[in-house]
Amino acid sequence: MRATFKQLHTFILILCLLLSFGPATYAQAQDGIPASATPVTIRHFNEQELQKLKASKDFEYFEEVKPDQNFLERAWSGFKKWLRKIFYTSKSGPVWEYLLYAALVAGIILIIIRLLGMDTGNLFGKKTEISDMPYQVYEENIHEMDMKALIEEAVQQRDFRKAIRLHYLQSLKHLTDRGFILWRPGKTNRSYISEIKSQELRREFEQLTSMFEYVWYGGAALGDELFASARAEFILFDKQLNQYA
Amino acid sequence: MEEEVLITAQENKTDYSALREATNRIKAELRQVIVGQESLIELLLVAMLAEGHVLIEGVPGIAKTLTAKLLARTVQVDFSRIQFTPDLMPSDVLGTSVFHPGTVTFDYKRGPIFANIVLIDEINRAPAKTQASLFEVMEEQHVTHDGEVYKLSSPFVVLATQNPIEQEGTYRLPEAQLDRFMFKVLVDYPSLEEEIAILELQHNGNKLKRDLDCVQPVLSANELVALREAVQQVHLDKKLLEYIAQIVGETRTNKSLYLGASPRASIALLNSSKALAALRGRGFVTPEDVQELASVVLRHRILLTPEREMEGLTADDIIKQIIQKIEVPR
Repeated sequence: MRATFKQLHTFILILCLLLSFGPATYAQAQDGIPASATPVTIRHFNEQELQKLKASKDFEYFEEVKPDQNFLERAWSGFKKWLRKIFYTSKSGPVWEYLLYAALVAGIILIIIRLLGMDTGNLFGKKTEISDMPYQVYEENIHEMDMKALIEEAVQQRDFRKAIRLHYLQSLKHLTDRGFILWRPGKTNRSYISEIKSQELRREFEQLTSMFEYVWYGGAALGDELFASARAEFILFDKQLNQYA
Repeated sequence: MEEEVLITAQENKTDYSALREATNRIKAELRQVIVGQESLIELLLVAMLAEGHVLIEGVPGIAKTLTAKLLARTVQVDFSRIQFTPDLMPSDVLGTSVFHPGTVTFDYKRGPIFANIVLIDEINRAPAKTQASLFEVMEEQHVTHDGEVYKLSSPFVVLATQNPIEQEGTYRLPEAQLDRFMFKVLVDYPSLEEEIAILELQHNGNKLKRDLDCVQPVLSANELVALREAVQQVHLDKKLLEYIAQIVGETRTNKSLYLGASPRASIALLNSSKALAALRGRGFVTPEDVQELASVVLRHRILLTPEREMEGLTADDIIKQIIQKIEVPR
């Protein structure tokens, strides 16, 4: 009962509001604009001027707007067009294009590796044996030394230790020349011994090495007799080398 | 200089057969229990003769501790073992002052470091604070506590074991401490034959445990000191001094290395080369001795640049490169 009463009130309120707009609308209809007495002159567009304006780019509102590209995109797009122009033919198909992409990626990777100074040998699981060291090392090239003259000079000066050393270096040179060992500055005497395949030759060179080490590293003093004996062994070894060659 | 060398050589008539005999006796005792690990045993003996400390690194279960423990047993000296744990304090190692209510004074109670041979097991499980407590004693052989200096008796050798840093619950040792170890020895798994021999020993009625007691002292402390003095007499030519300096010097200028070796490394290489020569019955050092020990002396003292580490190179690779490049003096 109470709800019905509320609905009726709402209806009367809306009705009153609608009826209140009626007189205002009627009042506006009374105010009209008076008709003009001046005759109307019809003007036409200048056809030439119209065509001229139509042709002008300033008024071309329907031009196709391309998306903005940065410098790299434009360069890449240009590069692709250039590649297509050179390599792409109806016969080759897209295979060439894929190969070119692969070559391009490989080139970029190599440049990055180069810039970082990385060792490429390690990329494939192989460790580089020797890398360039940023220093100069002292090296004595046995192949450039005049051994005979130096030995004679040492003997004349009675510097027997030096003479033994030179004899040993000469033996190393002969072993290298005949391919028994591979000369490397960082190798030790024992490394060279292990490189010699012939058992007999290896044993003989081992004896010479022991003698050289005792004299040179051990600082042993040599008299005339001992030196003569040691020298004879070196000369004999050098002669025997020819038999094995 | 040349004359000096000759005089040294003539005077250098020390007989190293006694030294070889003594070390062979130690090796024989150890071989009763230890299967393989020849290189480790030899390096431990070299370090003992050269008055150096040794860091032994390897995965668990490859007889690192056992070897060190047995080596200590072969020499008749005081031995102590310290198990390094994350909660170990410096006072647990060096000792501490204890209050005596009767005399109303503090007395210094010496820690386990006061021994001739100290085995520090799993050294890298203790934090830097405890590691730092070893700096003074390892280098200077004395402990300073409450303004008092307590000297350790000679010989004093620290044998420390550690698991690789990649293992769970380990710390990286400080560079200053690593530098105090003469050698860092890497212990690998035994070969197939060695493994079979180990299993046979175990299979034959748990023989290993009985043999631990069978290992007897074969060298007294005085004998060890005498052998050390003999090692000092080993001749080392000036050319080899330069060679050692060149090798160590290159570690400081090499572009692959972030940290080079210290002069302590040069001294360690020199002393250990002399000990190795003596161990092999020679009265003089050869370049082979230097080359053979270069890796164990230098590998823990150098740090690789991040680029070289990323390439998979190790300290041993760089040391090998340096050795290959420097001409052997002859």
